[in-house]
Amino acid sequence: MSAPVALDGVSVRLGGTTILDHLSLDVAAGSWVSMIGPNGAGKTTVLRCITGAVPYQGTVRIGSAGVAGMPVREVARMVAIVPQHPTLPEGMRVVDYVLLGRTPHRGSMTSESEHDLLLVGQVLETLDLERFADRDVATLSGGELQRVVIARALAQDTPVLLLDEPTTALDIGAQQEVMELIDRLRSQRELTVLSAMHDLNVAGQFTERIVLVSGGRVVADGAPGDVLTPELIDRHYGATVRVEVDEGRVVVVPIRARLGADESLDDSADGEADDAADKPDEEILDA
Amino acid sequence: MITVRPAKLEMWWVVVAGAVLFITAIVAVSFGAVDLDIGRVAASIMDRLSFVEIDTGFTAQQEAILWEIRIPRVVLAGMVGATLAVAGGAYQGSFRNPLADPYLLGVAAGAGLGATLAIAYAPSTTMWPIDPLPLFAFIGGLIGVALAYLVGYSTRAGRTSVTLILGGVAVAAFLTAAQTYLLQREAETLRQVYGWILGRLSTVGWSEVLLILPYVVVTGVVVIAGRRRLDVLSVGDEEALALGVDAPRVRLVMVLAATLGTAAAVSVAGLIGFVGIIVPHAVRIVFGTSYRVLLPLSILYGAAFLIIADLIARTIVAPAELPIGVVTAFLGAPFLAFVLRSSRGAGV
Repeated sequence: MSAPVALDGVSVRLGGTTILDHLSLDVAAGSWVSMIGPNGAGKTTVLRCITGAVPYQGTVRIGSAGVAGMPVREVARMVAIVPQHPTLPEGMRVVDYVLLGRTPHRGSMTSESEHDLLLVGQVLETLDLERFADRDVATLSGGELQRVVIARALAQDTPVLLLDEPTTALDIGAQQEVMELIDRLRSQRELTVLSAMHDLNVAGQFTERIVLVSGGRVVADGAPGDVLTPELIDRHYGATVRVEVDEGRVVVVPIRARLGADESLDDSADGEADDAADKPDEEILDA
Repeated sequence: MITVRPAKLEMWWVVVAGAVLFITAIVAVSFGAVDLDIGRVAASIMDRLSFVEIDTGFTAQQEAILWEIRIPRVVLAGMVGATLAVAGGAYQGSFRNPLADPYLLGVAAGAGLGATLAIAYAPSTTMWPIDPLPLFAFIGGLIGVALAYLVGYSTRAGRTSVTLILGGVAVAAFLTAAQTYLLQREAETLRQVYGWILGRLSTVGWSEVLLILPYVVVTGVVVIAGRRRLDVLSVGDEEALALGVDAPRVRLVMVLAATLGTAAAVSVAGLIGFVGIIVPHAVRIVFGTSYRVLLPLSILYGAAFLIIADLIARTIVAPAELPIGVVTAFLGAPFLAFVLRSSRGAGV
């Protein structure tokens, strides 16, 4: 069931801007790799290359097969994605939304098979979503919605699962719940998981291997302790942090480095600018 | 373990819609300049459609009114209504936009220009083997959409539904300007063209029905066959791709099919507005947003709606006739306002 994912020398240029610059990345079958990096680094674009949503140069392989030129339906049977901002069809019930995941497995003219319905029932049960089955997707809370979108990806029944910032919109409890869920599903189903992560601590706590992407390249790759260093984070995020180790897991603590009354005002301004910078970056990547 | 019940078309919904359509049609053929007895109308239809011989008690003249005037007209109204409604639903699903109607991509403007050309320059209908107006309107409508696609897809920004709609806007503006220029030059055609734009269903028997039948059938079959794909498109092009569906291709097929039927309908009936918006919306509110439910029911209720509108159009100011587009707008505009007020989360 499990299959490795390999990007080799992948470059993406959109509207004259280089988004990815000869990026290479291997994800071993059945492993979970977190991609971190500042906004606009190209994390989402890496995921979009794998699903075929963006034209690129270089090669992307899932299992032993190159995905370029493969029919979109074939690709959709190999790899499922949980987008950061899923489009929610108005008036669609959770069960119909999750059933969309079966699309690549049935003909365009045929209804869902018994197997499809059974499998979706199991997925809803696994993710503790039975009581939401008839709810309108637009009425769910952030954590519920994330589970529903993951359910759709699981219904796709693919060996590879991509997650684009799966915890960014969630409160701290829902973040841990979703990450535990993904880890459990990964080991149960031998999934190969590649996730773009916003929160360095969540990445450090839950994944064995972290890849730091910056300026469209992989600039660091290794265990959390090797990648989440104050030097690398300062260089690529422009952030000042202290790194601690707690029960063998790395914890990144942001600190105010430039102390002094005048500087502190600048710091708070920086923080807001970072938040605002989120949106333009996504627009570049979505364009 | 829960039982998973996907959105699906319940058989009894179809039966009810079919019954509504049938009753509407029977009532509509019974009323007009000469009122016919509903029971006898039903008997006459049974007589013709089955092997049973039934004495209807109609005179030959009444039989002729029924079979050569009323029934073809009601059948034509039903076909046009069904086509416009299902085309509207297909457009709305393809563009994920509740305001999309069958005229979105320049069909109306192209057909309007074609009709104006026919009225202004085709010397007289007797010189042509067939009436040139529907032919010109049909070709004009198809050219309009082809241009919209060319313009919308020539963009370097990527082929999205937005560029396609903008292409349609540009093409429609150009074609409408050309039509206005012609109308100013040929002022005596103004009234005739105006009458066509408001829609008209005055037929001369079965010829129009047979004329548009092939297109209407193709449109219905292709759109209904693609109804599941439209549900996938509701998550947007990129997520549809991740689910193995090539959204631009689905959109192309659906829009072409819907346009073909719309152009055919426009060619015999003029520009009848609102049907393509209000019928799918009404169905959406009552039966849910899934296109596998919405499109089949839109066909049946679209047919019934336009049959009623046509009945009103030809009886309310009898012996004169109101353009049917006036009736659909009179019924449609308040209905749409009501829908906007009362529905939240129904795709509006």
